[in-house]
Amino acid sequence: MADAEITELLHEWRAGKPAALDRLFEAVYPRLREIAGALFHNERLEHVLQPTSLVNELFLKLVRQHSLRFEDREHFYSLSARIMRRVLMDHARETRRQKRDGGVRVPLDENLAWIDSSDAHLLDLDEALVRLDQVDPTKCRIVELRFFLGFTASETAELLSTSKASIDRELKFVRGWLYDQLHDPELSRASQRPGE
Amino acid sequence: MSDGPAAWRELQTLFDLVDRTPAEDQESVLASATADPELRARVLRMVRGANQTPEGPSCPAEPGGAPGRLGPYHVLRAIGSGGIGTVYLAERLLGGAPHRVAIKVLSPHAAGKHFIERFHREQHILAMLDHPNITRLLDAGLGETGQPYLVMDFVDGGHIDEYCDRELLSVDARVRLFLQVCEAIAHAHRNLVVHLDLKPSNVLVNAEGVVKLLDFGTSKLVQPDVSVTTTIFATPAYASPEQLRNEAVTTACDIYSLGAILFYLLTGEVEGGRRSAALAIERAFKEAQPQHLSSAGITDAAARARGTNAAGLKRILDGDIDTIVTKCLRPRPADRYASVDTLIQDIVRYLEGRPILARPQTALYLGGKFLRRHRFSAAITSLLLVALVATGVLAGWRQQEALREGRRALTMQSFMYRVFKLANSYATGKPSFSVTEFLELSLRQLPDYIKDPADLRQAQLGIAESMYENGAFPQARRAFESVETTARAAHDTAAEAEADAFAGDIDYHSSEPQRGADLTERALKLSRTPGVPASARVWAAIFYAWNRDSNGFRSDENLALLRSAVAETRQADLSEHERGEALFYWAQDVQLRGDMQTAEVALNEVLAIYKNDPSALCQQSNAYGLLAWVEQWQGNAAESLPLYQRAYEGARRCSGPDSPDALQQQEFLAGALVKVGRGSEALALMTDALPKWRKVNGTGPNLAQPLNFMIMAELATGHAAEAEVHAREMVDVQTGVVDAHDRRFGASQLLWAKALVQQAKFKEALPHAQLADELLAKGAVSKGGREMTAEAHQVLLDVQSHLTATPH
Repeated sequence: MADAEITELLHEWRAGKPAALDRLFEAVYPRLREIAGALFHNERLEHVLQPTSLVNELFLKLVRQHSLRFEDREHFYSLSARIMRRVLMDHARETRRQKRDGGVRVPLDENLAWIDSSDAHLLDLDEALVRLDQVDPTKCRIVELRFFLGFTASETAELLSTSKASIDRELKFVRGWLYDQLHDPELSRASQRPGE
Repeated sequence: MSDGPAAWRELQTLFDLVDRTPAEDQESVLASATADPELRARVLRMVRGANQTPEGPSCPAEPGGAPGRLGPYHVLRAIGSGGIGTVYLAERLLGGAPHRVAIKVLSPHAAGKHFIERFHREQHILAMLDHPNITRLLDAGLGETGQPYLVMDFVDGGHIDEYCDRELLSVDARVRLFLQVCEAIAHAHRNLVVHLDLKPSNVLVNAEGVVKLLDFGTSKLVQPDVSVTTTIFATPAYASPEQLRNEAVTTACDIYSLGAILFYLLTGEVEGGRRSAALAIERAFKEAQPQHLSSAGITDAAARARGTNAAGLKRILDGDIDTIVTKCLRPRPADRYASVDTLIQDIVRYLEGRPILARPQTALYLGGKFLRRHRFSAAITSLLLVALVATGVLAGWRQQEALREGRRALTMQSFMYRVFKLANSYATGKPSFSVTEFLELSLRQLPDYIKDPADLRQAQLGIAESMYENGAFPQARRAFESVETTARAAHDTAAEAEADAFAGDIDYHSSEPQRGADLTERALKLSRTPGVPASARVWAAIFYAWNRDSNGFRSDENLALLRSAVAETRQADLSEHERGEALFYWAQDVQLRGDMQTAEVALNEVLAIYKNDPSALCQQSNAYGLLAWVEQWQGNAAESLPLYQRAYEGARRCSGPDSPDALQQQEFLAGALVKVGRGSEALALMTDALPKWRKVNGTGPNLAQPLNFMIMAELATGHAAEAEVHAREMVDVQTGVVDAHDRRFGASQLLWAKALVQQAKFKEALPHAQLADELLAKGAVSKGGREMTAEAHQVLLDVQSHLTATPH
């Protein structure tokens, strides 16, 4: 996708067309996925797949072309967090298919340390997040920023113009909810959907 | 079960409610809140899940555990993992007493070519570095399964930040410890190694308080002036913006990281609050300016760990240390310290309470520094004036007097306190306060504090002399005059002599030669009265003899006086400063008489005296300037150029870039550049200096000198028309002031003639060439002077031959 088109989508997104985000995502994702793929193959995931490389690429792509203004930080970081999540989950899916040794160790935040970071469990997590996004998109964004982009609670609060206390409270609830979703045998994945 | 919006809200409400309830009451609270047993069970599960503490590290240790044995080493246990390997504590089995070492083993999964290369790079780099603050590489080898390993000193200690907090180190103690980190990096840089991943967890401190730098796995070898890029990211919170932007890396990256580490050690917070990689990158792209130390969110706990409270810590961090840290953290590498060595210098200066170099120095700043350095010594504080003026002109006996009386010391301390307070920008309403204003303020406050008239005069003399040193001649003149009046009435001959000597010298400088001659003569006579200290005698002799010699009353008596002044500074064991000054005047005088060898010897002694004295920048610059002239006079143009450059740099730093001193040195440098064929550089310097000179000195005869160099530069670069205009002006400012038969007139006529010749205006050039030839024909003393004589004659011959060849 041409850079001009990315700029156009950013404008649309800023102008309040949520659908533009999805298209924007599709526009920048393949390139970032490619970079992530290269990183996976060359370097040890744990060491390198900090969000650094990908966020850096995104900055280069968007900021250097002046298509992103820093007033759009919230949008930008939400997008970045989602991309990070997608990159990690795609990778988990791929390794599970290939059944390679070692597996993927996703640098999950220590708040989620009880989640077994095996591929299968990660995909469960992803599906739980899909459900969360449907019922409460704001919470899903908080999780993505916090767990996939490495934002601290206060950084998340600042970005979303809210207090650290309320982010802490939201996160605690989400942590409980995710625990429930991933540990309750009756709520095993794909069996239920929020709102059903 | 339904997860509709209402149910979702209820779920959250119940979760918050139960989460705030003590565990034993949770079930009963839930029971009264909802009748739905499934929902009750779910909320309980969620609350327990949310409060579950993580078990162990999220990254488990290497599968397979410790390798047991590696070559001659017996592996005891894993002590850390990170990067591409695991580090084990091990003992050496063979030979001697058991020796503990740390062994870094490349992880089996990282066995790609890329990693092995990196591993070998670390081995290679560590082997190059031999420094007490860098972990030593002891050995390297391959394990049984072919994994490469490195054997290093085992450091039994903690990370530097943990060490500082555990030992409750004060800010100064932390800075002192940090110096060791700088030393290690300075050593690495000298070996062309950049570390690129400096962070507190890579800096260990052992039980003896010795810093050991770890992990050169990310480091690079750089060629000087060649930059390298890296794709491996350092820890974002400590990485330089250029690293985060994936740009070229240089030693400046390490300087940035050093600043970030120091920021963390001092405040307990990460600079810029950028813990997440994403926000660190954003700051890097925005080139955000560094945060100030005192604006970090300093907690009471952090302050306590530094032996103070939050307000106290903020105050400490507001000073020079902030300037040092922010200079490291500038987003552009060029704005940071140029090298770790210069950073170290400033840190040492900070620790010693001396002014740092990282910002321009003002009187208040320098004075404040002095107070701080000596805050525990009332007796020394009483000498504040002496040291503040930093001239050393106050004689030794004054210091002893001051030391005798503790009471007076206290008075002086409160005096200085008041002066600094009044000089505060809140009191003056001005953003800054000049040295002269500060000294004037001190002078006005002095009588309230010093009741003894003789002491008061000594203090006033000290202040007046520092005004003189700072070139504030009118203010200094008034102060000397007032001291002289009271000294004369009180028969205080020493003070009177000293005041007259300086006042007379100022008069000479201010085009009042007659008054200057009278006063310096008086000073000389008075200084010979028994009981007058040697320093007053030296100043009186210098000002009397030098001014006479340089104003056309040259005599052997003057030369003898200057010689004896130098001898007296040696015999009477006066300060280095006085010896330096006496030698400098002596050198000036002998060069005036054409004895360049003697001048050169004396000037080299002057430079040796001032070499290690940062307060003597002005004197150094003067000595370099004169030495440059001495070399030039002897025809050594190439040798004189670097000396002129040093004089120029020194004058800019000492008096400020637009000061008369700096402008004069700028002009001399321009002249020297013309002589070595670098006319366009000279022209640039003069184009800058001439308008500034006009602004400072107006259009008097003094303008002849800058005009002279301007014209030389213009002629050298083919700007003949401009040179003609300036030559006309040069003659104008000399007319009526300079003797019509003076060689100086000849010099300006010669320049005028040359400007016209360059434009082929031979007819117009003829009268100027004739006059130049006539005036410059005699009286040449220097090699340059003789060259000018010859040149004037040649120009005349050229003009005449042109006119004969092309008759109109």
